Amino acid sequence: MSTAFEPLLRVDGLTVAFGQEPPVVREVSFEVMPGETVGIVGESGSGKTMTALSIMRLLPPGGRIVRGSILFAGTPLHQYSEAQMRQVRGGDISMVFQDPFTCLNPVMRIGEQVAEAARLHRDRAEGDPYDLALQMLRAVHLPDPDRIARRYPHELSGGQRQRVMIAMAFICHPRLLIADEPSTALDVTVQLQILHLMREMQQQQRTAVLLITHDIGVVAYTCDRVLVMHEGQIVESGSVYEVLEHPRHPYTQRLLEAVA
Amino acid sequence: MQELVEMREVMVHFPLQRGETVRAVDGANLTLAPGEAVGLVGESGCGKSTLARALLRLVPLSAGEVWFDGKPLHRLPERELRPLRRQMQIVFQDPMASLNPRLRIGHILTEPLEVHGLARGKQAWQQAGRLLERVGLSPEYLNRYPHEFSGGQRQRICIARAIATQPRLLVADEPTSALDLSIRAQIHALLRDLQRELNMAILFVTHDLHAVRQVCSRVLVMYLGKMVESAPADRLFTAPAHPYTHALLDAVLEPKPSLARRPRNLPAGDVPTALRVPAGCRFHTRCPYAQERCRVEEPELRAAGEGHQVACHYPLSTETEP
Ligand SMILES: Nc1ncnc2c1ncn2[C@@H]1O[C@H](COP(=O)(O)OP(=O)(O)OP(=O)(O)O)[C@@H](O)[C@H]1O
Ligand SMILES: Nc1ncnc2c1ncn2[C@@H]1O[C@H](COP(=O)(O)OP(=O)(O)OP(=O)(O)O)[C@@H](O)[C@H]1O
Ligand code: SF4
Ligand SMILES: [Mg+2]
Ligand SMILES: [Mg+2]
Repeated sequence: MSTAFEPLLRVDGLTVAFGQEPPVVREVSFEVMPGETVGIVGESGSGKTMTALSIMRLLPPGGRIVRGSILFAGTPLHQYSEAQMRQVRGGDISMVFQDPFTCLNPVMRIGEQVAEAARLHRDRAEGDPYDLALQMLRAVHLPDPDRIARRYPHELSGGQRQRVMIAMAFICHPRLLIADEPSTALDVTVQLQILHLMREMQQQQRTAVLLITHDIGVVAYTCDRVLVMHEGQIVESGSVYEVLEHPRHPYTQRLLEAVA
Repeated sequence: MQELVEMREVMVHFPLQRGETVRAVDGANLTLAPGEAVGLVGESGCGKSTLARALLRLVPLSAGEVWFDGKPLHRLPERELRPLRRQMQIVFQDPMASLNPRLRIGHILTEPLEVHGLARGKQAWQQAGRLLERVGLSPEYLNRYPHEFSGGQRQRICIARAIATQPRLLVADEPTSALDLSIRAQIHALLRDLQRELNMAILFVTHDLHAVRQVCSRVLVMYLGKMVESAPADRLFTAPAHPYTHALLDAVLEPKPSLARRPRNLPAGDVPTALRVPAGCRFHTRCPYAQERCRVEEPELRAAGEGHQVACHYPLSTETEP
């Protein structure tokens, strides 16, 4: 069992490669404490998504963990079987992607999809899955949740779909949420609403968040700590105040100059 | 001085099957002076790309007028339009999609020169080399293919092709959204340099307010198919008059936590779609200052200071300068 003083997630020496190519993630080590929000930033191709997918054990075909360990609440995920991982995904750890279309089933009504997540990962004693789904759709501030629940994904706006994704991610009370570019496809004014919402849900449930993004402003706004990745390695890490206000590594300095 | 571009009450509507209509551009006005760099900002789906395409007559107008250098583009037949095309060029968001993967860079760059009869053969090839140099690439790249370049280099090639005919207007539709931050700044600097050196007007379409500051002297803000504010860049960023512009600026997250975490006043609710444009002021469903009048009466664009126009019944700051 982990306590508040032990990390919820401990990644140690993670190295990921495709075939015989040089590794795309190299000796990456970091920790996420319970309830903490940690950002990963870095330019395109620096290995952010591959790091996240390694934790979920969802690397694309040909990709593999060459070295390193991933401990989640003390259990070694890197040694888990696919059957064991299926229990973890969408349960203790859930993930939100940039494009909600890739994760929502286009031919299933919204309410059913959210209820399905509850059916798989929540105790039946907690209530009827469909009722839990409606509660959750209300909790993410969707207007008129009963009506929205009967719609299909394409009948919602981008911001509404993103809220549905967040409802699905939080309905199973995950201990860790991994969000890969969760708000970049949204309008700026709606993006802020979504980030607020994520924080609200996270505080209610004391969920830890690993947030991957290109947008330094999003990290400055929401994260406690940040990891800066460059060519597969973490080149700098620390509290957002240290790293973003007083960057030490030349790469971080360049990254920040580009947005200053 | 005569305007280079003038768009008056332009509408571009797309009919859908069920008798519904997407009002993508819905009565927009726009002017560009020769050599002027103007930013066009607004949220996804507000009609920026459609307006840009309407300006170049790449999409038919449902209503309104487009004047270019005193000529009525909206009623010129294609034959008379062709000679004008070399004076109006466009650069898109995705450089790979707009470069033919089977052509060498040299061919990509000499093609517009030959089509418009500006140069041919060896001379065109030399000119293509100079264009590459102008956008910061080595002329040795003329023999390479598009896939041999990074995203930022490809966008430079697209820009080189666009300026080959020495256009008087360059429309850049989110030219850097697909690029990394560090590379974006370089491309913005290149656009600004070219605009000054070639005295070329630029309509710079973007989500990125930071980029607008780097490139443009004037900014137009669009919401649901219509301009809501037009102002000199300095003024827009310091004294926005339209509540929507204010919200757009207020939603920008600064890269430092000490600034990013200040309190904000954000508009509630989702952006309405171009299928159901609200009556009255189209921002009233989300505007924190909306009054009864806003629900029924649509505000017209009117002066709010030097070079500053706003379409709002209750603008935030309208002090006219002495
Ligand atoms: N299926 C694959 N086969 C081979 N290489 C891959 C594959 N997927 C990703 N890579 C490589 O792994 C590296 C890291 O990619 P990753 O997707 O983690 O980058 P990222 O930091 O998430 O970038 P972005 O910000 O663009 O999403 C890149 O060099 C990429 O080309
Ligand atoms: N060919 C088309 N048929 C139907 N609707 C269209 C068509 N092209 C654009 N639209 C709609 O018109 C509206 C304006 O689209 P446009 O692409 O001009 O927006 P934009 O401001 O450029 O957005 P973005 O910032 O996402 O590029 C949107 O609602 C879009 O869905
Ligand atoms: S006209 Fe009214 S609703 Fe529209 S922006 Fe101005 S105050 Fe807001
Ligand atoms: Mg990625
Ligand atoms: Mg567009």
